[in-house]
Formats: sequence, C-alpha cells, structure tokens
Amino acid sequence: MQSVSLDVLTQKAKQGSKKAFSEIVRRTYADTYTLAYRLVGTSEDAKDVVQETYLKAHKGLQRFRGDAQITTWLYRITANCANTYLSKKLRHKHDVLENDEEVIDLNVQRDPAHMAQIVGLRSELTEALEQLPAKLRTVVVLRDIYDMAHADIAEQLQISESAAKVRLHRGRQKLKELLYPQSTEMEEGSAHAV
Amino acid sequence: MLCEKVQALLPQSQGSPEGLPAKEAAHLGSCLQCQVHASQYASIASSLASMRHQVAPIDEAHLASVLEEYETLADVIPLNPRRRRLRKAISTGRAVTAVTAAAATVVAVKLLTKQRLAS
Ligand SMILES: [Zn+2]
Repeated sequence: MQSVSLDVLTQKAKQGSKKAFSEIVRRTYADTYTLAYRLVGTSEDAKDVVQETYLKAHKGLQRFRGDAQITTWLYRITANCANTYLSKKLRHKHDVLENDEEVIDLNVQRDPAHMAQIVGLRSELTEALEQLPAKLRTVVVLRDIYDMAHADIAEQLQISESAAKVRLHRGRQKLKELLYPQSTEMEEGSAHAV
Repeated sequence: MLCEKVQALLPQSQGSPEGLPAKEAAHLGSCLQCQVHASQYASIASSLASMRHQVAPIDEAHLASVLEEYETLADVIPLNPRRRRLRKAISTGRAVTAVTAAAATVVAVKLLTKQRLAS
C-alpha cells in the first residue's frame, strides 16, 4: 500500500476497499489534525474534529468526484466540521453564561502541554494567530495557509463570500497589529497629532 | 490622506503594489511610511504560506482510535453501494433458500410419517 498513490487509494476506497480507506486516513491524518488544531486551538477539540471529519469523509466518499485532490476535499470537510464544532461550543458557553451568570472567557481555551510538543508550530505568528477571534482566525488559516478559494471558505463556513472577505481583511489587519504593535502605535500617534 | 487609503488596501493586496489601483501603487513606490506597512503585510503573508508544510506530530493512540471507529462503521455501512446491493441480494437469496429448505423438510417429514403409518 505504501507505494500506491492517494488517487489510486481513493479509487479503491470508492470501490469498497476498507484497507484503502484506512491507508488514506493514515497518510492524511497529520495534515488533517494540524488544520483542525489551527482552527479550533486545542488538541482535544482538534481530535474530536478529526474524528468527525473522517466519519463524514467515509459517508460521503461516493460523492467525491475527484475533480480536486482528496487532501483538498478533506480540508473542506475539516473546515466545515471545525466551524460546526466551534459554533456548538460557543452556543454551549452562551447557555452556561445565561444559566449560571458566570463570566466566562469566550476565547478558545489553550492546551499548554500539547502546545509545547508542537515543534515548529510555535512561533510568534502561531501565537498571534491564536489570539485572533475564532471567526477571523478560521478565514485567515484557510485562505493564507491553505490557499482555499473565497467561495470554498464561504461554503464551508456557511457565510457569504463578501463576509468571508471582510473577515479575512480584519484578520490580516489584526495579525499585523499583534505582530508589529510599535508600527500601529506610531500610526495612531501620528493620526492623533494631525 | 493617500497614506490612509493605501494602508487600508494593503491587507487585501498583502503588501504587494500589484493589487492596488495605479494612483495608490505609485504612492506606495515613493512613500517610505507606506512601504514599511507593505513589507510587514508581505512578511506575514509569506510566513503564513510557509506554515502550510508544517505538521503537528502524530498522536498514534488517537490515529488508532480513528481507524478503529472507521473499521466498526465500515462493517455497518459498506463503502460501495453496488456491494451493499449485492450483499442485500445475497442475504435475501439465503433467506429464500432457507425458507425453501425448511418447507421441503416439512413436506419430506410428512411424507415419511404417512408412509410409516401406511406400512
Ligand atoms: Zn504613504
């Protein structure tokens, strides 16, 4: 199975080969998990999203026409699952807030132990990405890291294409503010001086 | 004023003058302040693009649980609808055969009983 391409494996999986689908999962797992982690921000949540992604992929494999690579198709499913997951989580937090009247941080919780393991992902940029609100982060990750088309992003997040573009614009601005605070302060200072 | 306009367009063009209207692109070519902002957006864009090939380490235990869940599910919902139809046809065929065999057995037992009683 090692030497067989993903395209061939996809064909075999569509014909009902369990082995082929398992091999697809093995080969794409790291990428799918990384994207899920970038979108939801904690290892536990990312694992749930990955589980859901492969279940959806398995159920929908017959509908995969092969006009994109299976990895791209899996990214779309991951984005969709992560979006649903985050929406449910936020809704649940709102419910808790209403019921218990506690002040809860709506930012996605971080997992410091796992974060330390992710060698290479830890950088100023990663930290800045994590500070973005989930709605903005999702669009920046999908567009600027995974090069997903605006139309695809809009479809998976169930928003309009123009809303996706607005979120991307705000997300990029916010990232720059976080990474280059002096530059932003100088700009604001000169604006006040005028 | 043009600085503000250019800087508002920079997130969209990711610091590149190519995505800007001619007037704003020309301003960017000559304004040092706008160039600083442009280079910052460009730097963020290239760093984000380079993150595409960084992957998190595999959690083998979780991968195993994903595969296990799929294996269980695959037995319930076969991947190939043709195979599913075939499986259904086979099981229906088996049921028909079993019913026929049972009926034949009953008839045979009745015949044997009749013969025994007659003799
Ligand atoms: Zn300027």
